Amino acid sequence: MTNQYFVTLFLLVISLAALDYLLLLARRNEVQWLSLRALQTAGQRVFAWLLRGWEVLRHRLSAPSEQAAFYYETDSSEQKESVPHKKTSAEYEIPAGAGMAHVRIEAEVPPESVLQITITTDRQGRAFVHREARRRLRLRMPTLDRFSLSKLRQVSIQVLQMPAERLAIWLFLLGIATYLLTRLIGLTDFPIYFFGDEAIQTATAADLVRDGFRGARGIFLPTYFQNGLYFNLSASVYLQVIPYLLFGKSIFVTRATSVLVTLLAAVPVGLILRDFLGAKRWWLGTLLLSIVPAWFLHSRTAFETVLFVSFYTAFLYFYLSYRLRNPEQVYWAVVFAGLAFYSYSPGQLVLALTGVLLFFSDLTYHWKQRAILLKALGLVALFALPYVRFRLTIEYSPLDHLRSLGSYWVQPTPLADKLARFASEYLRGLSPGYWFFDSPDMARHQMRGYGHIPLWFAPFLFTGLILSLWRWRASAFRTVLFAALAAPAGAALAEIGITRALVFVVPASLLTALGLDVILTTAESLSKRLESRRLPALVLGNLVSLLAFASLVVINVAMLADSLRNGPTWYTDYGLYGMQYGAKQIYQQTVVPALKADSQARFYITPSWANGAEHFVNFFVPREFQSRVALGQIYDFINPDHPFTDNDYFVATWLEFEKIRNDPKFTQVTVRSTIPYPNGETGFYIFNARLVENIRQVLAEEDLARRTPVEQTIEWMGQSVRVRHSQLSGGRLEDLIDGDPETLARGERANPIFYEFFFSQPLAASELVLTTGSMRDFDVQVLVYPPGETRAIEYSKKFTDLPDDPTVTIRFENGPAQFDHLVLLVRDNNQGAVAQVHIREIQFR
Amino acid sequence: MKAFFTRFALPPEQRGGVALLLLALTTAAAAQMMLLLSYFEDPAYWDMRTWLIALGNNTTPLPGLALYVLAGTLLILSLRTFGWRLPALPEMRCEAQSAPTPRFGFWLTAFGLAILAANYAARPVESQENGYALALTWILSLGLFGYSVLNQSGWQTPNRNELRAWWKQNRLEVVAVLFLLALAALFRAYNVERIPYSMVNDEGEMGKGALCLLRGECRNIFAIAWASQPYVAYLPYALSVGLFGHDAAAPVRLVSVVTGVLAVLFLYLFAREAFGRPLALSAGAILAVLPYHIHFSRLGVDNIADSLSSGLMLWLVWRAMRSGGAGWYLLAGIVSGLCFYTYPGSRLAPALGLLMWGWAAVTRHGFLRAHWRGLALWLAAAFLTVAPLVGTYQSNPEFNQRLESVGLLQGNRLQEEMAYTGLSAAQVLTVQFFKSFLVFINTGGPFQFFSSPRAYFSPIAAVFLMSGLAIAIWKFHDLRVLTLLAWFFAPLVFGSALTVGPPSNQRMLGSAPAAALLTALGLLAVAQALSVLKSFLRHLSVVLVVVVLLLDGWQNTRYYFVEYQQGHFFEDLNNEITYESRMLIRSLQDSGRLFLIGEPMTRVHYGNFGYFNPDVEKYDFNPSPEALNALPKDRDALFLAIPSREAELRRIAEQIPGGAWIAEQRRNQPEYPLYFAYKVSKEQLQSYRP
Repeated sequence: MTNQYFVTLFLLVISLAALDYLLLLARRNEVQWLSLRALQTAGQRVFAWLLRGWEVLRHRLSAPSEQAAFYYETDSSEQKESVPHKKTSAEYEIPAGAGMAHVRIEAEVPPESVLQITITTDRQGRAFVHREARRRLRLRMPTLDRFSLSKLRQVSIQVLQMPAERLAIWLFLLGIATYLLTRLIGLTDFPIYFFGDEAIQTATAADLVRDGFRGARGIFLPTYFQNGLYFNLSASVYLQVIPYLLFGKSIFVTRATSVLVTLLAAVPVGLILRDFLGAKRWWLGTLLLSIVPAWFLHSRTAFETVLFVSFYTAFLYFYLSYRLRNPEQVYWAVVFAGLAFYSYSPGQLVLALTGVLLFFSDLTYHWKQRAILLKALGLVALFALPYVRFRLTIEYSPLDHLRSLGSYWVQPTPLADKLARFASEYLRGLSPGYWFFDSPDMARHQMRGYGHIPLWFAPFLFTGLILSLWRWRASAFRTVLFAALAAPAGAALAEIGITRALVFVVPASLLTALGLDVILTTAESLSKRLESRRLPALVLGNLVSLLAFASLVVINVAMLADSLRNGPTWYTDYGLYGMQYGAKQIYQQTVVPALKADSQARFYITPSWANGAEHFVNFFVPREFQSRVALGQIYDFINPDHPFTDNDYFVATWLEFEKIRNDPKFTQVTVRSTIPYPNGETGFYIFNARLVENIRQVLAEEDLARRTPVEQTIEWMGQSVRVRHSQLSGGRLEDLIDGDPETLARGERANPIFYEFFFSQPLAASELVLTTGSMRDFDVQVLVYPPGETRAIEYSKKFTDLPDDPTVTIRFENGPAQFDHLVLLVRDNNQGAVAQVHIREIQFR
Repeated sequence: MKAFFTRFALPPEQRGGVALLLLALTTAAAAQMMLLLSYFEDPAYWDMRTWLIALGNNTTPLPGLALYVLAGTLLILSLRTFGWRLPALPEMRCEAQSAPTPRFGFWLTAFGLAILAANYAARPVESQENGYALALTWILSLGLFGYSVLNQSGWQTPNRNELRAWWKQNRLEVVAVLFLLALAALFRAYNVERIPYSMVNDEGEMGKGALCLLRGECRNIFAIAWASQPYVAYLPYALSVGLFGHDAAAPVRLVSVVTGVLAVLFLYLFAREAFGRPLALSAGAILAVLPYHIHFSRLGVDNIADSLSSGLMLWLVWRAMRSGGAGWYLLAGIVSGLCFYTYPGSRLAPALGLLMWGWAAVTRHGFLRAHWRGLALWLAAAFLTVAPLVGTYQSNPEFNQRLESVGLLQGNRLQEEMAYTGLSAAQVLTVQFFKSFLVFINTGGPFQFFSSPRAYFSPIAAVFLMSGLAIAIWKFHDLRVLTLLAWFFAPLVFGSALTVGPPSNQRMLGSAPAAALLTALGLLAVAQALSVLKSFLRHLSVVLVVVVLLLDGWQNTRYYFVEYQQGHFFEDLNNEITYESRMLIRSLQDSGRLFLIGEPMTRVHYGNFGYFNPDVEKYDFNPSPEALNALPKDRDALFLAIPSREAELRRIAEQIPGGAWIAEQRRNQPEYPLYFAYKVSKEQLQSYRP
């Protein structure tokens, strides 16, 4: 058993067994889960035992002066404090012959004293009276009076005695401040990457301002902006316009704008808890949301998903306001729903599903408010107009977006399979495994070791969930549950990923806060039963609140410190499939200063390490310098007629540089500087290089060599197969036949790429199943030779607009039943003769 | 004379009924005869388009089936005349009980642990690392849940007095059942090593799975192993192999023996609860001697689990429905979950249980209100049991792989079948159904792990099976009968009719207990009808039952243990080679390697090789001078060739002289060679020069 498993098991058993006990108590109360009377009783017993023990201990250890006194036939209050403890007994003889005796005792007992009288009789009929009085002991806890720092004492007393509601507002405001500080501090340093998808927001906003608020196609205030081939940017771009106009383009400004918008999530989370869910410590919501790792990381970026979550949360708040407070608030709900709709495409389904659920959930209420809702529908229509205009003017459908995401909905599979896949993905989006434990998301979307939601949230979240289910009939609780149920819907259309399912953190935080609040309130009310006089209920409640607040602030700060200190080295794959580290370091810290310093310098920057690297040029490089910056590898700029000079600076990744340094086409490769990765290894090289003298001859020889096929023999389908094929620049021949479409073989600039198979024994197969890399338009040609024949039966098929990494089938409808020689050619029709065609899998069936 | 007629003659009001009954039985016998005489081995027999045209020449099953329909109608009429009724349906608890006083239970903990186990099971690396811990977590989850249920329900173990009273009341029945089980065990365990002969490679695969568990190589019992089944299914085999070793087939087969005997027991228990003791005993006896069931109870693969799971499931659900007891629902839930861990056909068992429960809920007022808690408990226990497997299937989507690989409706198989046979989709499905159904009474069950030339049921039992079926269709609205029909037809349809190559012997085992029960129902109905006669004939009813059972038993046991074995129907050269060569290969130990010249028939990765000799290095070998030269020469070599490749082995013997030549004949067909082997020492191997 690994330690991780043991710890998880241990925590789970402990916390769930405790919850089981709570469940039992709730079941026994049968009415009010929150009252937890039985728990209080049980807890009170435990505390009473502890108190008694403490009392005895204290009694034994205390000095004589602090001991209680025995008072007998005295009424002097002065004496009460000074008379030492004493015991006395009296003996009364019963008169002979009398069967009974009357004993009269008079005593004055001071407050907080105990008088014990024991009367015993012996065989002879004598009675003995034993009296003992002592002052009742009470706890003398250290009081605030004893603090020497009077001001601190005064403030502390004020805080502790502050009405709970007022304290809650203060803690909420401090929580918001904590939230903001833990977002803004080191904002450009964590996450360690600055993504093309972040840069494009401000870059597009700048273009919009430059072009008189017209989009790339000349449309005034376009609904959507293009990101690559897809139209998926909208509200996020408009949000960056004013910050850009005020502060220009910078990583901090771009991200800080996003951070400020996230207050629309952080603030309503608290307010929903206060106004609609009835949480006593409603400020917990903000602090808990702040430390949800998935949110902590993404709320420090400028990804569109963050905006969606924020607007969506605000929508929830105003919907509940409409539902439970003021019907007029529906207009705000529509406004924020509209903004959420235009923020993030995968969120649209979440929004729609939430809308449908809420519509049916509160149908009666909606009907009562139909007059207002009709007006709100006008606002909805207004918000719909941009979308309608977009759909009418641009040939782009939601299906295109699904295709871009590689969704299974556009794959040629039966509807039943798609529905099953949707259900499976949807459930995964709700699974504790995904949220609490390691998720399959890319490293750059995770905080190592944290999970998307901290594991310690689980018991509280579960308690909150139970509570919400218990109060299912209350609209507010239902709304939170619906939000949780709707959250994975958008992501399930393609594949669950944290960016698409991020909105789940909001209901998760709400439920967790609810659960934690219940537990804290229970502990508090339990303590009230014990009624410590020196610690009034109000003070105790405030003390609990302050302790919880302090703990959460400490966790916030610790998380920030950990991410800033250790975050850069959590994951050490800094390349394209990892952290995509380097935008700030290359452009902001190296290229732009160099361009400013040297008016002759030209930079050729490799784009291979990041998605959407072209956006960095627009973002970082001032317009007047942009003509001196080009994206590409050194190979893309080889031109024998224009040899490189010392003013040509190349930026290459360490891996590319290794190849360039040993490449005979280049000479005088001089490293000017390097950019290290956070782990200290060299990440990028900035260098000059010259072409060799006979570059034309070298290029010609290389081209010839590239076109020469290679031959290899492999074991496949129980026989040895000789394969002649185009040269490969990546992957191995075995990757084509390993049954794993994740592995691939990439041609070395051969289009069409070809594979020729010579089977040692005739193969009986009726179709060829081929999985390729993503291509919009490609041809597959297969020549099948029957055993011993030299004439082939030819099959050709053209494929267009298939989803990413498509799998296609070529049926050998005209035979032969068996063959021992087969030629396969795949041509990418959108590229020239030197394309790198990717083949992922080849199967015969 | 008058006294004679008084004694033997039938009263006039019963004469019609007796005549109808005799006519029904005679017609049924004729129907069975007609089916037996039909040319079912002719492929044209299954060309449905010719069935109506060829009615007269007995190349279709229609005449026989039509006669059976007639016989069934006559039987129903005669039973109506006698006023025959099914045994009274036992009462079920339909009054709602007040909510019990809450007691402490590990409800959430149990669910949390199950979800934890599921979560880890979904991650292959972690689940392998924490394999034993996962299993413990699972067991703990079930244990805590079980404790919670029993604690909440106030369950107490029966005390000694209660047990004693129960024993006094039921000792005769217990003795009878023990006798029945002993009979079943005898027919299943007798010479299990050699019958059926020989051990097939699939049994070896089960043994390999067991060894993997025993050696600690497979720690995650929820991981998917051979045949898309989790290692949990291999635990009983691991226990048996751990106890008895892996030198023989018997340790693997013993698991099936026990399973088969338990199937008889639970059939008895369910039938006793639902239909009464006589019918239960008869059904148990029929199943105990059914060759089809005996065969798979002797085969070390877990298909036989289907026949156990359905009987056990129905018994538990029936008990739960009658008593409303939480313990029964708990067990039903656990068994429902376990059904997903064994042979995929067992997954029908929970569906059958739910069907029976659902039908009771629909037809009985107050049932749902009285039992909804039980249903929740059942589903919860099933979820807890199956949770880790759900996790496994999340990362390893092989849940329906078996079905997808053999299902007729999956892929293009139906279209291919239509193209191949020229039949329409409806016709293909009809033929598939008849092929699956008729194997019970008429046609043989070729291939599919049985290869029997005879139908599952003896002709006499077949007559009563069809009679029972007619009665069941007549009384289908009865809860028990509806369940029985579903029990019989569900595996038949889903396990065979909707799969490729029906009849799928190995996938219809779930139908076998139901078929036995239907047969007993037919037999007992006839006997009970006779028993109401006001004449001496009523005494024949018991005799009839005993005679039929004895006759059926004799026919079945003679068929299976004599005719079937002597006919060598099950024997397969490939299986025999992998089985019989075990000791020879074992002699290599660490000092030698096996080079198998067996392609394309026999390969070294086949199950028996791995089961008997997991540690011996084994290679498929195609002799050539280069291959011989490339052989590692640091150990001895055993070249083993299938008969068709003897010549190649002889060439090796010529090229590397001095080794030991071994020739084995087939055990039951000694006129044919089994394999040839040639063993050389490493020194001889080193002396080889191409």
